[in-house]
Amino acid sequence: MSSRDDILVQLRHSTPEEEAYPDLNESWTTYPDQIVKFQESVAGVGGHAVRLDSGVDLTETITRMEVYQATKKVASCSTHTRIENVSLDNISDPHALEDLDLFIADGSIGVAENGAIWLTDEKIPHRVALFITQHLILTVESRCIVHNMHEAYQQIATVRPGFGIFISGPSKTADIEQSLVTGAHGARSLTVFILD
Amino acid sequence: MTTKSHDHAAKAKQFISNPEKAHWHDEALWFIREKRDKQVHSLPEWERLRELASQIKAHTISKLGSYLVAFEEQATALGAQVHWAKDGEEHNRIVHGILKNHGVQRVVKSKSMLTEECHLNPYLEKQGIEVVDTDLGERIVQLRHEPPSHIVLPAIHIKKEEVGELFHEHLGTDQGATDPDYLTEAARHHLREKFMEADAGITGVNFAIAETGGIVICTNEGNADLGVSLPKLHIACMGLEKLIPRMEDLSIFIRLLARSATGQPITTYTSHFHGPIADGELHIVLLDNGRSALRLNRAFSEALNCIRCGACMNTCPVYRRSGGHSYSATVPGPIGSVLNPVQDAGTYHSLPFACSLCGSCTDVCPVKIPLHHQLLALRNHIRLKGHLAWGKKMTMTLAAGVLGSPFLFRFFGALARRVLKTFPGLMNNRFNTWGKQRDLPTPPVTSFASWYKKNRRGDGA
Repeated sequence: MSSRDDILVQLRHSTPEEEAYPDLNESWTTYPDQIVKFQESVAGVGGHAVRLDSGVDLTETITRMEVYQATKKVASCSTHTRIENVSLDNISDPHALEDLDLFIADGSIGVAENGAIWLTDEKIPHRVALFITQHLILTVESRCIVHNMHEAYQQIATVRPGFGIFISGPSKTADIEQSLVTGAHGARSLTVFILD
Repeated sequence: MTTKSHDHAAKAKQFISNPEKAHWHDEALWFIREKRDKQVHSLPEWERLRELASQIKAHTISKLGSYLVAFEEQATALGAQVHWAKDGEEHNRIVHGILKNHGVQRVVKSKSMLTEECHLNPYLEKQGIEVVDTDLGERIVQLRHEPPSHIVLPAIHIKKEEVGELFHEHLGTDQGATDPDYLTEAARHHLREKFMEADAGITGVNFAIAETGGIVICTNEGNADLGVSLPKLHIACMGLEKLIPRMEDLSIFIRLLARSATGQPITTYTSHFHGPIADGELHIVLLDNGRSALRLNRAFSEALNCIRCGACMNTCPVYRRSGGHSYSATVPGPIGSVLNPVQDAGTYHSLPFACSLCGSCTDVCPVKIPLHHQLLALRNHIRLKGHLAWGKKMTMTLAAGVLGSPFLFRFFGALARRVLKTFPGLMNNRFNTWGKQRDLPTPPVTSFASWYKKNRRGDGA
């Protein structure tokens, strides 16, 4: 018999009495203003969330940023700005992104309770761009900011094949004496633009 | 690990021989416990979340076989390949087989206690494959040739001065440099090279979803994501107990995990993999290694609820003061003191006694494992298996005799009150470990029973 069969036989044998699956539908914590709470949470995890008024141009705002001005290589998969000098579509080997300085992408959900932003690789040809870049900019529409993880998972319950991720703040570690250091392996900074 | 002794007390003695460092270790972990409390108090529904998490786990474990089959079916439909391993040895053989088929020379690995449990690194290295641990803490302990001392904070026992020396030797950082920012930056550059060179990425798994066939991995550094987004081969290794039925269950567990582990509202990266990367392969190795047997062990099966957050370690007064290595096991602390002796009582018989039964682990456990009750029950289990140390067995037999007989109790009480006043050395000597760092209290003049008879009897109180 294969190990698979052995394990499954052992698991079918004399099962402990079946425990019921609970109902997760409850009233979870919400916030008076989820956008303000989202901004606070992003700041709390070391990021920076800016609300952009509808008249303000995203591309122009980014070009004024310090991380952009020091940038040599920038790529964008955002539908809100095409500011880039390298296109992921024209790259076949993701290793070529080793020296990517800035990457811009669109999130589809923002979560107020923890500052996390949900995005998938549907529009990102090389998902490594999210992690290999020195600095990361994400956008999220203000109407897509939810209060908590329950609301977030309700929206992503039907999964498409591929990759999806919650990103909350820049890459960090505290493995040396519990001193918090940002920029462990991934992005050194995270800026979130909340669009109306 | 070249451990001769598995005796917790002996190893703890080594750890506290440096009182300054032991105190620092204690404080570092308590700091994390306090960060956890702050997060917990910000969520009014915390207790409800724990309750639901515990119920979901109990439900899943009760139907584990059918959920695993459903997971396999869904994951396969998404293009992943699922493997089953009965024990660590088979697990290692499977992983090596996959790597060999792809001609892999260099592997980057993100934190996985399961591969530690299977001793995967030495196995692959013996076959000539380079394995680099990419979590900063794990890289530090790997360069020091020692196992992690904590499941979430692998290098919590190491001072920055020691990291500085280590990195000076291996990564060429400045001699005497101890700044965590500087040292982390050096590790970032060193490990970026490893990421760029790697032919495959190995990761653990935090959660696997039966309904969708997906796996979820949580990290703060981004090392798991970098490690599996550059090469085309991803091998994910998981214990059978990592399964949850539905995607929406994650809303409960993700809220609990990072808050319990490090006092963060969520980890920086919570990655959901449904099928392999474009033109690549995803292999998922399911490991039993005693888990299906533990499931049938009614007294201890709730230990399978564990989501490896480490909160029980951070709060444990014994763990904080004795260090992870004193447990001589991959998973230390309260949960390790349950998991290890249940599997191997002969080797790990001292662990359930490294506990004051204070119950703090049970209070903080996000999936409500009754840890201190299990630790108490395990002491009896160890006695029944015949692994109780001779001294403990004798003392217990004597105590049972004296405490079980009112006559003997009165007699020895009276004797002790008289004799110990003059000869405290009879109790407080080098053979009695309770006398270490403690003074014997002055024996009272009379027993409580005779005091009560004289002062209270008959007043109707």
